[in-house]
Amino acid sequence: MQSELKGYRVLVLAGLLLLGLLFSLMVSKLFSELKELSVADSGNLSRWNSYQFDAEFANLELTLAEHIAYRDLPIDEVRLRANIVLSKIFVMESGRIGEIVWENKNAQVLFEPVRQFAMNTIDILERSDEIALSDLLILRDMIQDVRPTVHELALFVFKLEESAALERRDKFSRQLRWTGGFAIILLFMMAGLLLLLDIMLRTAMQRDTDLSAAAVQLASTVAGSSNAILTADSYGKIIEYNASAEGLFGWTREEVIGKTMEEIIFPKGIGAAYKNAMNRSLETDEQKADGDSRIELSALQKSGEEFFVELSMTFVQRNGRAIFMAYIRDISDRKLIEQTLINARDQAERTDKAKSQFLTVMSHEMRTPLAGIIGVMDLLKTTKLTKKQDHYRRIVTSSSEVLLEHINEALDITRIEGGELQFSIQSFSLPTLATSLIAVLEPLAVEKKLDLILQIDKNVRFDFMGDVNRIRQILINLVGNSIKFTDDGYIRLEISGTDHAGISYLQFKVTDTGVGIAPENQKKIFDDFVALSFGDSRQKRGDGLGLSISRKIARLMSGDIEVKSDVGKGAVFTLTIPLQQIDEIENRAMIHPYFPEVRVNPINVLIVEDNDINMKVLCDMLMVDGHTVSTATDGLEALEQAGNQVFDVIFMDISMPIMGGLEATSRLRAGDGLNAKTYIVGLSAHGSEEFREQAEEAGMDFFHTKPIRMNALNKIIANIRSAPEPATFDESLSPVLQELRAAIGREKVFIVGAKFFNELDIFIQQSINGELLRDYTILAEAIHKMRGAAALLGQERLEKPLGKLEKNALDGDVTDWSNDIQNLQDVAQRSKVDFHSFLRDS
Amino acid sequence: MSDPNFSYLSRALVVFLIFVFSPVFAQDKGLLQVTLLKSDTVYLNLEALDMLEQTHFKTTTMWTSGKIQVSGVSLKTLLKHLGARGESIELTALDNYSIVMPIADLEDGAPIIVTHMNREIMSVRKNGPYWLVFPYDSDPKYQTEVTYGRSIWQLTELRVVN
Repeated sequence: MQSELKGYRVLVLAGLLLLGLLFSLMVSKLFSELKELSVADSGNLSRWNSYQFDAEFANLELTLAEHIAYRDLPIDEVRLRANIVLSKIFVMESGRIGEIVWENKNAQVLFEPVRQFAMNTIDILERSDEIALSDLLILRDMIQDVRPTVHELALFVFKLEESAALERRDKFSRQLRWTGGFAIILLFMMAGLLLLLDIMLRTAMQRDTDLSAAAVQLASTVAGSSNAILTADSYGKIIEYNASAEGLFGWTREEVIGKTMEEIIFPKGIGAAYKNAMNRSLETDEQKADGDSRIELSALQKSGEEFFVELSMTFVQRNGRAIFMAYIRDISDRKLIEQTLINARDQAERTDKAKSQFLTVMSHEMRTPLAGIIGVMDLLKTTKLTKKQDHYRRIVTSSSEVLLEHINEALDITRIEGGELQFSIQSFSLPTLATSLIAVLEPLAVEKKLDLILQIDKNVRFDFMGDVNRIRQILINLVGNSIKFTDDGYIRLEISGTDHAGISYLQFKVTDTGVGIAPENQKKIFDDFVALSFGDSRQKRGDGLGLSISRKIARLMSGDIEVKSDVGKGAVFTLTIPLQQIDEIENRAMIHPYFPEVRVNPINVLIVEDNDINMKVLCDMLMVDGHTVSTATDGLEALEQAGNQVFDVIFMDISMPIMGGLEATSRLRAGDGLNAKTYIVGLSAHGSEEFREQAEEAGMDFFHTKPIRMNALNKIIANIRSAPEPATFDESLSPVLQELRAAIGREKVFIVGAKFFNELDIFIQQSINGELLRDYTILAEAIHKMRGAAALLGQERLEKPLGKLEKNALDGDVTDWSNDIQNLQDVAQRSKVDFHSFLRDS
Repeated sequence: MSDPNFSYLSRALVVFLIFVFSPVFAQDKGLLQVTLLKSDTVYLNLEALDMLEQTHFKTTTMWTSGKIQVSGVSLKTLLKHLGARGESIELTALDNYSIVMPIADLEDGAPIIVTHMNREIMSVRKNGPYWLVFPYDSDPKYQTEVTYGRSIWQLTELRVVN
C-alpha cells in the first residue's frame, strides 16, 4: 500500500515535470517569437526601407535639380545623396533582403536596371572630384528613367517582406494556439491532480484520524492495562514502559528507559529464556500474537526480590524497525497456588502409595503367619483328634481361610487401584473352566442343600484367550455369593455368547433364588467395603470387597457385571466379557486347579525357605506322605544342595535373603548341574500375578502363593510323578543303567556313579602325574576294579581304554602310557556327561 | 579607459574639435553630433572615436553576406565617457531614419558604434560612416526585430532624451 502510493506519487510528479517542461519550452518559444515579431518595429523597419529606397531616389533627383539650377551649391551634397542612394541599392543586394530579391525572378528583373543605374552612378562619381554639369544632367536623366522601376521594386520587395512577416505571424499564432491548448490541457490535468490530491489528502486525514484514535486507544490500553507492557527495540532496549510495569517492578519509567530488559528485569541466567521468547516472536509471523509463545520465568523487582511472571512477547515492525512488545503478568499467586496444589497432589500420592505399600506389606506379613496356621491345621488333620478337637480345627481352618480371602481381596484392591493388576492371557477351555468351577463350589451348595445347575451354550464350547484365573475368581465370587445368600432353591450358571469378528462376547449369568437385593442397594453392593445389613445379624449381602473387585476386574477386561434383583425374589448377576476365540483347540498342558487325588510314591524333595515355621510346616506336610526332604534357607544354600544330589522337586521361596528364588532357579537352569531339569515350584506370600511371569522366565515350572495347602501339595507331587519320562539317552548305555536305576533307585545310582567318576578322575590325575608307575601289579589291580565298576554302571565305552591300560600294566609295557591315559580321560569325560544327563532326564 | 589622465586628454580633444569644425560639414566629414541633456552638443570625428576603448567582434548581419569583422566604441562606453545622463537616447541616420532606445538597455559590449568593418573605415555608400551593430550571433536575444530595428547605419546624430 505504501509503496503503491509512492509509485503513484513518482508517476504524478514525473507527469507534472514533463508537462511543466513542455509548457516552459512552449512559453519560452512563444516569448522568443513574440520578441522576433515585435511587430510594429519590424513592419516599420521594412516599410521604412522600402519607402526610403524610393524616397532617396527622389531626394537625389531633387538635389540634382537644385544643383543644375544653382551651379554654385557645394557638390558634396550631391555626392552624399548619391552615396545614400547607392547604399540603399547595396542593401537591397545583400543580406536578408538580398536573399528575397535573389530568390524572386520578378524582383531580379526589376532589380537589373537599378543595378545598372548604380554602376553608372558610381562611374560618374568616381570620374573626378568635381562633377560636371553634363554629368549632373546624365545623372538626372538616369534617375528619371529608373524611378518607375525603383518604385515598383520598392513596392514589390515591401510586399515580399510583408508576406514573410505574415507567415511568421501565422506561425506564431499557431504556436500560440498550441501552447494555449496545452495550457488548457495542463490546467485540466492540474485540476484533476488537485482533485486527486484532495481525495488522497482526505483519505490520509481520515487514516490519520483513525490512526491517532487507534494510537490514543492503544496508548490508553497500554497505560491502563493491568499487565505490565514493555516495548523494546531490536537491541532489547526499553523504549516504553507502562504504569502497571512501574507497579510490578518498582522501577519508574525514567529509570528504565534506554536500559535493556535483561539488565533490569530478568536476572542473569534467565536471559536465555527471554532471548528465546524474543527469537520465537521473530519466527512467528510478524504482528501475529502467538498464544503459545507464553513462557513462565522469574523476574526481578527493584528491591531485588524474585517473583514469577508470565511473559508473552510479540514482534512488530514500526517504520521498518523491529519492536518487541513484552506483556508481563505477575503469576506469583498462581504459582503459589500451583505449588500448593502440586504439593497437595504429591502428598496425596505419597499417602496413597504409602497406603498401598502398607497394604501390600501387611498382606504379605499377615499371609506368612497365616500360612503357618493353615499348614498346622492341615497337619493337625493328619493326627488323631477327638471329634471336638476336629470341630475346633475346622473352625480355625475356615476362619483362616476367610482371613486369607480378605487379605487377598485387599491386595487385589490395591493392585487394581495402583493400576498394577496384570492379566496373564492364556488359552483355556471354557467347558473345563465351568466344570472345575462347579466341582469346587458343589460341596458348598450341597452343604446348604441347594441345586447347582450349569448350562453351557454350544456356541461357546471353545478355547478362548484370556486370564482364566481372574475369570474364575469373579465366577467363584458370584456363585459363592449366591450360595451364601440363598437358603433354598437353586443357583444356576448359564454361559452363552455372541460372536463378532473372532471375538466372543461371553455372558455368564448367575441366577439364584435367594434373599434378593433392594433396588436402592443394587448400586451400593459394588462399592468397596459395603455390606448390606438385614437388621438381623444373620446374613449380609455384599461381603466386603468381593463384588467390588469382581466388577473392577471385569471392567479392566473390557467387560462388566450387572445385577437384576428384587427383595425376596432372588438375584441375577451377569458377567459379560469379550474374549478372543481360538479356532484350533490346543493340547497345551494347563495348570489344572483341581487334580484328581492320587496317592504318590515317596520322592526326594528340596525346600528352600527362609521362614522357619513355613519351612517346618511344609517339611511335615511332605514327610507325612513319606517323602525325603532336604532344606535350604536361601538360594545359595539351595545351589549347594542341588550340587550334591538329584531332587525330584524343589519348592523355592521367591523372596529370601542372600539369594532369592528367582536367581537360584535361573542359575540352576543355566548350569549343567544335577538339578538343571528338576521340577521347581515357586512359592510366594505375595499375590500370584506379580511373580508369575518372572517365575516362568526364571524357569520355574509351577507357581503357588502361600499358604500351600496339603491338597494342592499332593496334587503338585502327583503331577510331577505322572509327567511322562523323556526317552532321550545313549542307547548303548541305557539298558544296564536303566536296570540299575530300576533296581536301586535314581539316588543310589547317582551316588555310586558320582563315586565311580570321582575315583576315575583321581586315577587319571595320578597317572598324568606319574605317581602310579612304581608297582605295575597294584596298578593293574586298581584298573581292573575300575573296569568292573564301569561295567556295573553300564559305562561300556570305558571298557576298551581301561582294558588296554590293564593289559599294558600287567605286561609292564608303559611305552604308550600317556597317550592311553589321554584317551581314557576323553572317554571318561564324555561318559560322565552322558551319565549325568541320563539321570537328569529320567 | 580607467586612466583618468587619458580621460581628461580625450575630453580636451573633444572640446577642441568642437571649435575647429563647423556643424555644417559634420555630416560628410564623418562627424558624429552628440547632444546631451543640458543641450551641450559635441562633434566627434573618427579619430576621436578611435581613441576611446575599442570593442570588436565577428558576426553575421541580416544586411550583409557572410561574417564581418567589426570594431568601434560601445555606445555605453561613449555615453559614460561623455558623462551623459538621461533615460533614453535618440539616434538619427543620414536618411533621417531614427530610433529611440532606453539607456538602461545598453550593455558594456553591445551595441557598438562601428567605425571599422573588416578593418576598413566605412563610406556612406557602404552604410558608413558609423553603424550601430549588436553581436547578433553571440546571443539569440540580439536576433529580434527590435534589435534589428535598432541597428541604425549612416549614424550621424546622437541625442540623450528623458
